[in-house]
Amino acid sequence: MSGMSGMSGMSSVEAVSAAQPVQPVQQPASVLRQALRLRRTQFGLAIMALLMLVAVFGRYFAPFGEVQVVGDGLPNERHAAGTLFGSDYFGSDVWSRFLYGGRPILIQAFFATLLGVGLGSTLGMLAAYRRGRFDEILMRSLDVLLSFPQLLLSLVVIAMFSPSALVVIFTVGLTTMPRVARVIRGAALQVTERDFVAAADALGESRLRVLFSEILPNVSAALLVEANLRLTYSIGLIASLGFLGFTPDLSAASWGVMIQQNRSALTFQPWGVLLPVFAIALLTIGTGFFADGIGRTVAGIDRGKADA
Amino acid sequence: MDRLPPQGNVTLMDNNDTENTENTGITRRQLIKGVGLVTVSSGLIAGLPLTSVGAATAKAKKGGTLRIGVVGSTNDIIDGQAIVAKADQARLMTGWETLMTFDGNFAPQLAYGLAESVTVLSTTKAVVKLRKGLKFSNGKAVTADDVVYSWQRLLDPKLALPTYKAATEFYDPAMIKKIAPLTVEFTMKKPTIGFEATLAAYVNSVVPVGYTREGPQVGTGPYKLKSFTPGRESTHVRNPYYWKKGKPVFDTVIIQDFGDKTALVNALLSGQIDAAVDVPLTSIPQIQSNPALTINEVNGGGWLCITMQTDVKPFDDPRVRQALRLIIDRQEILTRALGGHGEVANDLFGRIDPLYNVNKFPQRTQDIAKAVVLLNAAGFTKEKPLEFDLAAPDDTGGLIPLAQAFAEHAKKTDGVVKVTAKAMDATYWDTTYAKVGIFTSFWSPRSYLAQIGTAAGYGETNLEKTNKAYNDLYVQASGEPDLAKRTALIKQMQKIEFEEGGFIIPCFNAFADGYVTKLKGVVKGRASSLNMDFYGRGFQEFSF
Amino acid sequence: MTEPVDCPHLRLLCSSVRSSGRLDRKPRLVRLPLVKFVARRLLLGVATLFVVSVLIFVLTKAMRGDTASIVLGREATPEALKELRSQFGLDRPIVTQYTSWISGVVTGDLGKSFTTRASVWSSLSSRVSSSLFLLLCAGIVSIPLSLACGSYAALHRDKRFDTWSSFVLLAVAALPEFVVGAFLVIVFATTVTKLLPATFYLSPDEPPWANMKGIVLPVVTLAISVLPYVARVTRAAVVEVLESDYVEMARLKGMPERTVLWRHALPNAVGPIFQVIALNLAYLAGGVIVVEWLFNYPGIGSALNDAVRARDLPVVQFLALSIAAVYVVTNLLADIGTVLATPRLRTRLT
Repeated sequence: MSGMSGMSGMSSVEAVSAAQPVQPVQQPASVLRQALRLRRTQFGLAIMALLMLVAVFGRYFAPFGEVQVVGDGLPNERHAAGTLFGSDYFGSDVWSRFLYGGRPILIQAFFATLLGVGLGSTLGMLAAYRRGRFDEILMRSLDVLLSFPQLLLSLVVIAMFSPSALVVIFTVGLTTMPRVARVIRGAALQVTERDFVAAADALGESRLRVLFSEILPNVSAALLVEANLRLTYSIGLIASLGFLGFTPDLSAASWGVMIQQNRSALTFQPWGVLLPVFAIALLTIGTGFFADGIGRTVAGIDRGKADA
Repeated sequence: MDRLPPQGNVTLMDNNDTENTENTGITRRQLIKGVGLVTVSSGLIAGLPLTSVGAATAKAKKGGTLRIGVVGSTNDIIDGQAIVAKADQARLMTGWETLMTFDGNFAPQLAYGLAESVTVLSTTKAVVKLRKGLKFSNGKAVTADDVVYSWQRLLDPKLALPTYKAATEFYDPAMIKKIAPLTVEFTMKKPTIGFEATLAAYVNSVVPVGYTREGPQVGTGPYKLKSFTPGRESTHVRNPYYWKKGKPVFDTVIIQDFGDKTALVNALLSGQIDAAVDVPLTSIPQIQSNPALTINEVNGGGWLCITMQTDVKPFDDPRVRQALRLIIDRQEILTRALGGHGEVANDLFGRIDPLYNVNKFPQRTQDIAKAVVLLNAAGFTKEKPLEFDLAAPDDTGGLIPLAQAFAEHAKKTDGVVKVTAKAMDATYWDTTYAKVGIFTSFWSPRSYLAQIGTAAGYGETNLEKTNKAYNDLYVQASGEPDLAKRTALIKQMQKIEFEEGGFIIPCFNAFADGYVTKLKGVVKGRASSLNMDFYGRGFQEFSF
Repeated sequence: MTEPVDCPHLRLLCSSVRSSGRLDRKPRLVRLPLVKFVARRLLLGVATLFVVSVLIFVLTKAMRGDTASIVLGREATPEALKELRSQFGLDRPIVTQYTSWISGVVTGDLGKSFTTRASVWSSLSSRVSSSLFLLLCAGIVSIPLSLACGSYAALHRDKRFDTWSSFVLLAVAALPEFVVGAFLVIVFATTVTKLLPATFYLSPDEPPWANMKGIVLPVVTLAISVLPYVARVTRAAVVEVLESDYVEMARLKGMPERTVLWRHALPNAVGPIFQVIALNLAYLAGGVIVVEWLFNYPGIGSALNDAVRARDLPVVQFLALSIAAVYVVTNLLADIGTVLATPRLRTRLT
């Protein structure tokens, strides 16, 4: 997913907003309501919800402990006694490890997205609002960050610190930030040109206030789309990092790490790879569909107004 | 071979870094760093005839190419006297030879070695005479100067070759002198019975004067390096100046790197390579099910361990150390981590030493109740638990699962011991290893005394610093040529070791190689500190 | 209908195409004459690369762990550490280290690898070409396919192909490469069938095309990961062009649909296609890291992973700079190519 998110390219040519011409405020709540009428949003939400339930609550239904030994303790036994899917590379229960393994990815991806979208949107709005040199310098610096694939940057940053959950969250969040900033800046540019912002400025309202009470509500729909999209990418990125072995706690079960750990037994005990592969696939497909549904709704509304 | 009469004091030093720690699939690269001295009883060695050299393959057809697969990475090196990873080991063996070698009982022998004779004059003096007419792969004659240079290089602290930490206690380059064109005299800094073993350690090879890692890669081995692409493969061609008639058999040996064990096994199964070095023990059934392939499993005597520093609180309390030794479930770790391949250990090292567990201590098993009693006595309770992190590096297979399993076992103390297993990257060796009170480590097979000297060189357990009686015994035993007397000393040492030592040793690993059945020259099951039966002595013993 | 959310290039193009009849709201750039535009763009690219190089240097220097200690590992002695630091030049002031590195890069001397002590270029050149070949193959497979897929869907909007392809592409778009790759390995190389090798093997003196069977899965993995996005972008671009005023005008003039399409619509989508290809390449440059590691492909991605672990700074720095450079240069070329290929933009430059 690294490169995927790296695609918001670097270009000297200014990007114009996602939401084309001037649009009225879209309330996230109403966007959600409309989006949920789309079949793909429903589909995405259903899969996403299911996988999130498995990730968050699965561990309470795990028949064995996270590192507990099962059967006669032998690793990679497809039919280890008392197990559903056999034992893994270390003689633990694959099914239990699977049930344990979703939560770390989900939690890390959630907070990383929160951080990335929070910072990115603040910077994006600030750039759009202040314009001028500040805008120019900020966007050029972000361009520099954008010229690294997200995964490459993450590898290097994680090598700077011990790979803890916090480091993964910060790394993924910070590499997400410039990508969000670009898009939100684009959306905010439209808003800042409008009368009520000028009015607020004229009234001498503090910049912070203008930013968060005038501009933010007007880009919230774009933000919602972006946040969902980034969540999908973050899940993929964190799983990929785990797969490459850059993960906070190798003993803790985690889907990405599981794939790496059990890969060598793929030919005779595939479950240790199959289960997490399907889980990550479904989770990203779910969030992907959900994000797309919302994106379509927002874009649809835009176009409707613009074409009219 | 000249040696001291009956009570001849022979030490083996074996740098055989046979790390057979993989089995877990966690790491795709195993760092094998560790060196040591193996002491074998001189009586045993003296009684053994020298192994006859390579008669089995006399009729082998010459020519052809042998393809060997190893797990390697772009960080691989070629150095006649050093390795970083397993892949380097195979490459070293193609091109360089030592003065003596080990036989299948870990006893030093002259066969395959460059020395014509080794005369141990005392525990501090020995004379080595080179075979006549030896030549390096560039045609230059091998002389005493090359031997002196080789030892200067081995003992150069600036190069930090694997020999340095293990051997610097006994050897000083200034005390190794040429006394005739082909004769070198070694004078030791302090008495050692391990001279011959030191000569036989595979990294202590002879390199030409001026040799550096940057090249040119010149040695006396059966093959000379033609090309090397780290992380990909190396090609070795017949050394035209090789001293043994009719050897080697293959024209070319190709050593190919694979990113991980999965890829290695796949390549063997699909016929891409003729032999796979160090296959995961868990893949043995899969390989054996193919009639064209054979497995050679060897109980190597290498081990993974949890090391407690006897000079760091709270591990300075022998009760704490004993308690933690009672918490671990050794059989479970052997089964889970090695698929049962290997054998349960008893917190004593030196498995290949005839004096291993000479007191016949009973097998120590998990005893949580007893552990808790000891911990309570040491002041640790549920309310005031013993809490620590147990770190393990991700570049050495098996250590992370060991830490994980130990943390899991500690849970059975119901909160008296709380262990957090922590995975680290290569910075572990710099920041944590031997710098905290408890950590994970691994060792190659060595004799009992050699292991103590080596572990001390790396700063593990520090028992010789905290226990004066133990240290006195060690110094005495190291310089004691008489086997019976030495055995008595070692008995006392092992008692201290067993009752208050700093190592938690769960098991000794086996290791396995897979190869095409038509490959001749591997003596199956013969003890070897190196894979592929000492890599067929630089692949010269192999043929189809 | 699909409004790609994070593609500024496309938005720019669509908006410039769409707003062709109106006054451009952001005319600053496009009013520059062509030469000036290219010069400015080049200058900006060089400046970006410079800042990128500083950033790479600072980040790699900030990696945890003393390089010399990691190289020496358990065998480290104080003397050897000192020796190695001076050999690697790590004992010099950091600014000196940077200037000597960057002047080396400019003059083609990339220094020596810390682990193998061989010159970085000699040990990586074959990996660079292997990776480029992998990129090329993935590009050859995915670009035409995604362009065709996207245009076909756009031309037949809301028909069955459009609906289904958008559904499938959307599902695949979100999958991480290693999940796609692992799935392909399960299906084609291990558990289900054994049609293709699970890992890639190549002898060092062979070019990567010597093992076309082995390259199939890595290429397909990369292609699958890229295709959905590029196809969606292409579809949106073509839809935008088809909806534009002048296509409408041409239709109103009564031109046959075929002429409208080939003479008016598609030429105007060439601009976006440049951007799409740039995106594609830049994306693939990042995607190779995981894919090469997965398939044991001897390219720069797997070397990068090894080098980060071993703190082989010269190798990490060179590889990171190369990957960033691919990104910057493809974007640069795409921007220039877009302007040259889009008649409307070109004329407006003067």
